[in-house]
Amino acid sequence: MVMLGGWKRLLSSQLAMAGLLICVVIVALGLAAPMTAPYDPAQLGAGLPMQPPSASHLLGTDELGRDVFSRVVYAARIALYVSLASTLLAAIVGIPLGLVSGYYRGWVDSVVMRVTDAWLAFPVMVLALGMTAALGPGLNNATLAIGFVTIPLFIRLTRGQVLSLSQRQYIEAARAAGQSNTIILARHLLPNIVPVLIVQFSLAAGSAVLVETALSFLGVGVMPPTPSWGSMLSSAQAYLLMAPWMAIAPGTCIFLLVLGLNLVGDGLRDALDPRTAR
Amino acid sequence: MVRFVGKQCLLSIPTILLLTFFVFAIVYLIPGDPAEALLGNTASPEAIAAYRQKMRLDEPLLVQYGVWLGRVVHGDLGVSVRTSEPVIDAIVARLPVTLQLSAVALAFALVGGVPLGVLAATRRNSAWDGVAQLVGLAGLAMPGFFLALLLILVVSLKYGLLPVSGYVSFTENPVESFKSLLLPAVTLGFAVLGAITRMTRTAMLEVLGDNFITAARAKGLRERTVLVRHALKNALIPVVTLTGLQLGSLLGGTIIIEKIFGLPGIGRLMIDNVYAHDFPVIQGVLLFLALIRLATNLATDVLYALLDPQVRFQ
Repeated sequence: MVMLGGWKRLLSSQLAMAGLLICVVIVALGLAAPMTAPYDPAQLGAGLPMQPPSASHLLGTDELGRDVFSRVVYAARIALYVSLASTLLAAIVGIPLGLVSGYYRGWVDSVVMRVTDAWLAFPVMVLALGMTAALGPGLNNATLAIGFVTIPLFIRLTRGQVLSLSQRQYIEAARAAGQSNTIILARHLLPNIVPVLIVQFSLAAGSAVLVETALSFLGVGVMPPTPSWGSMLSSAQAYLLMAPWMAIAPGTCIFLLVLGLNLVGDGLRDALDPRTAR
Repeated sequence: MVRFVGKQCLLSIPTILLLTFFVFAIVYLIPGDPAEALLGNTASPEAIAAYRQKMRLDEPLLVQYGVWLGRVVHGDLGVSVRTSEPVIDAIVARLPVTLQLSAVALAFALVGGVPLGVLAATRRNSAWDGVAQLVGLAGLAMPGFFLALLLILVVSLKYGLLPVSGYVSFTENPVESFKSLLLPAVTLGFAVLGAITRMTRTAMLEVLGDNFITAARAKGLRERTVLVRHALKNALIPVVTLTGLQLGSLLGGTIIIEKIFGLPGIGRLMIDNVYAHDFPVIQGVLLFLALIRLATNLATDVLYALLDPQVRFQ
């Protein structure tokens, strides 16, 4: 029932719905890229170089005459892939560690907490950059680096939730009934943390988009010819005054996707938090 | 208070040890021989062999770590492969630029964010509240490098108000120095501005609903006094904490900002050496930034305890 009320609240939040709409549009455009993109994103001279937006080139063309709209649409796939894959990686590693750490306490917890403290001491962008420097550039290495820097967030959150839920009577009841730790963790604790984790997931996915595009902007993330919003912005820098659309198109895409993911996350948090329930 | 600070410092010792291990271990992510990576691919086989001997790279990982840590503790972060400059000197030389940039960015975020958050909370659902919420959201979602390009396009290229890039040191010309830092600082501070605005608004709204505010009003105090002396003073506690915690990520943001605006700071040092595969420098910057972050977080904890006596007695 709580969930049901939560969904109703989510649907009635205009901001959250706007965020969802943005995400859905970007996902749809990206998934259907072969159909939605009018040109091959790598095709040189699809039009004259640096043409302003027009009917034949919705967002203009870049310095090599490639169609900016087609590139933006294909780059959406990359942004979505890296963000989803890295956040999933972080969740898959972080959630079990958080569960075990919060449930068994003791020395395991101490070790895990000290490690996450050290992990979180690095500014996200700095650690991601340091890792890609060692691993080398590329789509998969960027995904790995971003996933790695996101892991401690999931550990922290999951552990905190387990700590507070462990005090609840239904957990004590389950323990008194002689259920095994595995069952308590998997059947009683985890399902009750899922809503909070979903919120965290959408916020982390948003921040992953920012880190991926930043790495690609710096030239150590997704490498050409694969189109990425970050690398598109980076090459637009040299032609800022002559062809501002080359920067504005991919930049706006990053902004909208991150905004959308954050709005959905915030909306979900409000919807699932019983304290703000009216 | 002294005991509190002492305890916090002791607690961070294992964290610092683990953190140094992370930094040490990062060269093992490089495919191939770490000695080769640390000396660069121009090094002769003899030099590599000598280095392996010196850093005891043929011994177990923990011994290697011990050797490395022993040098780091003595301030020896190694030398740059490219320039042979000691890494610690390179960092210290770049520090003033990054500190100035961060200070201006933080000042911008605080001076903009706190008043905007207060206005939004006291005039809920007004136009100010709308602006505050917009700034809060934009701060979350706006990539710094896109904002930087937009500002350069409009402020520098279209209207020529500020320089596109480059750095003028403060001692050389204070006015030009400030002008060269203004756009980078606004870009860098924008995300923090958003966060501070959101936090101030939320904290003010919460405090304004408290009984002691009603009591202060009932006592007949002027609304100004109630807002500033009673409400804001309490609402600022979480804002101070947030600002302290944001300081570390601000330093992370300097990498892209310093590159775009051509500022010779620590972020620029990091990215230049990522391009050059100069790992001793990369390790040095990683370690330095993480330690600064840890120190600012610690200082924030202490400040928080000073502001809120309840924390000290937990």
